[in-house]
Amino acid sequence: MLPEEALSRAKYLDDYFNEHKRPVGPFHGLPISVKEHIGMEGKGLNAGFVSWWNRKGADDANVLKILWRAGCVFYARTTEPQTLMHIETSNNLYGVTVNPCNRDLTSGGSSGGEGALLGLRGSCLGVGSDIGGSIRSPSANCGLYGLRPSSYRVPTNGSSGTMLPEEHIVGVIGPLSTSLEGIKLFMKTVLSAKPWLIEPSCVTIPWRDQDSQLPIAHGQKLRIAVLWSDEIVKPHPPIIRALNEVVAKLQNIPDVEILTWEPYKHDEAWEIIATIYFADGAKEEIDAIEASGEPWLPLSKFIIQENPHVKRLSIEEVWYWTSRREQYRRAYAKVWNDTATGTGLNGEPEGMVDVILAPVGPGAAPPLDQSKYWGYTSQWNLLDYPALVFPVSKVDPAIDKTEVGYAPMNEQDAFNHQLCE
Amino acid sequence: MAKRNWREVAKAAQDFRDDSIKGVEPPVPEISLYLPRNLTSIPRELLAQDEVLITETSPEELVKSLASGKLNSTTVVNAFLRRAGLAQKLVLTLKRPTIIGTSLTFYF
Repeated sequence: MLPEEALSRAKYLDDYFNEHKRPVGPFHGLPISVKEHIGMEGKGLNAGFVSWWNRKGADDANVLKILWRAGCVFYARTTEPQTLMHIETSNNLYGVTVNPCNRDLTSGGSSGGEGALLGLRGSCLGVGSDIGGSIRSPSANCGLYGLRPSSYRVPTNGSSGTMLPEEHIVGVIGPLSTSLEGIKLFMKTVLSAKPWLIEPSCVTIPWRDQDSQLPIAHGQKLRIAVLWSDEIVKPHPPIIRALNEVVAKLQNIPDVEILTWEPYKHDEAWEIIATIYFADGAKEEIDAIEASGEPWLPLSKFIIQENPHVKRLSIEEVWYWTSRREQYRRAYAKVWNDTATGTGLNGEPEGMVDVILAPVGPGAAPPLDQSKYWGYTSQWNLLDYPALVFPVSKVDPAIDKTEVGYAPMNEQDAFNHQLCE
Repeated sequence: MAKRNWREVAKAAQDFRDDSIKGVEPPVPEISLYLPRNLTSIPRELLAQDEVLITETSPEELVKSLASGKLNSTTVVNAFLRRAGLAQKLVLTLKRPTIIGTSLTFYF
């Protein structure tokens, strides 16, 4: 928490408004919460590691500079898990972050501090990061909106973590909010500042007015394909119910067509991403944990020590897995293009499915230390698709009954099924 | 840093975190040791009505009110500081789940 600085900033903004009779920018006076590893000058930057406790940010992260110039107030920094690579939020510095709706369950992660804070309305707009589900998992677990933007849109310089310069799987920064408009406001404000000027890797595409992008604007239906299951881990009943509720509402809208999305080798996607997450064999992560002697938390053990895909890669292996990633992206694009209804002037496919409607996780918020299936979020990181999470419903034990006599498809599915109890 | 010291660093981190809410006025309310499973109704019980109203307003409505001068930033920021301080007390626990059998340490 940053009360003195926040109030001092608020006073400056109030004085400015009183003098100039206008706001500083689109976020004038608005408190925005920030995940701790997104750096602030002179402030701690531990990314969930005890051994990094004394590290400090050299400068404000680029995204925060943009939000600041838009007039916001930074007042709270939120916690992350050890390694940043959990879809929960526990570390040895601050302990466990629980779900505000049920404190026996996780708030999700790795932006779980944001999730819990927003879930309790201690914030209305926050900044998180995502390389495997870290914005979307807490958003879903805590009933919020969250966006994993495509890579190279929101500037990421100034964040801390391990393996920062690697490019074979790129983490992104994005918003969590209590409203959809909050998400749009964040993206519009950040992109209006032309971040590509200070971070040349960011693409020079402004935030596009969505109405002109919709097929309805061109006299066509909006085609929504539903992913009911990724065929590896079947979602729990409340998730299926939520999907059914959304589909039922969408079916009442005249210009919308609903289809089913057939998952294409989502297990291969996990194999690829799990291999490239820790190309150094997780050496930086291991060193950061062991430097202080802090205990390994269960989900750190899960994603690193118990992860069969983690091994140090040679340069040739990095190239190999990068090309596997690209092959997979092309194959998935083909699946998408095969839904085309026609051909454009230059022979390009037209009329494809516009959006996939999918679960964010294989169940509602899991009990602490049980979040072991990343596939419903990491899938879209590997493909680098933008993914927006929105709240639909809450679990109701009276309606959401465990499926009796279910035969699990594999070990991961069996684990997830028994969690349903 | 010596391997023995991780608990000392953790304690320093928790003290830092707890000290950081001392600058909030009025002070962040105390919470009961006996918390319900669902924490979401507690802020409404412990905060002032105007603080509840502000913190439950959407960001787009807040920026409009701030831009027009209907609300000033100090009021809005203070409301969120109070609710965030309370949230910090409610959702951050040092309790480790018993399923993995590690020792429990309570700091309340």
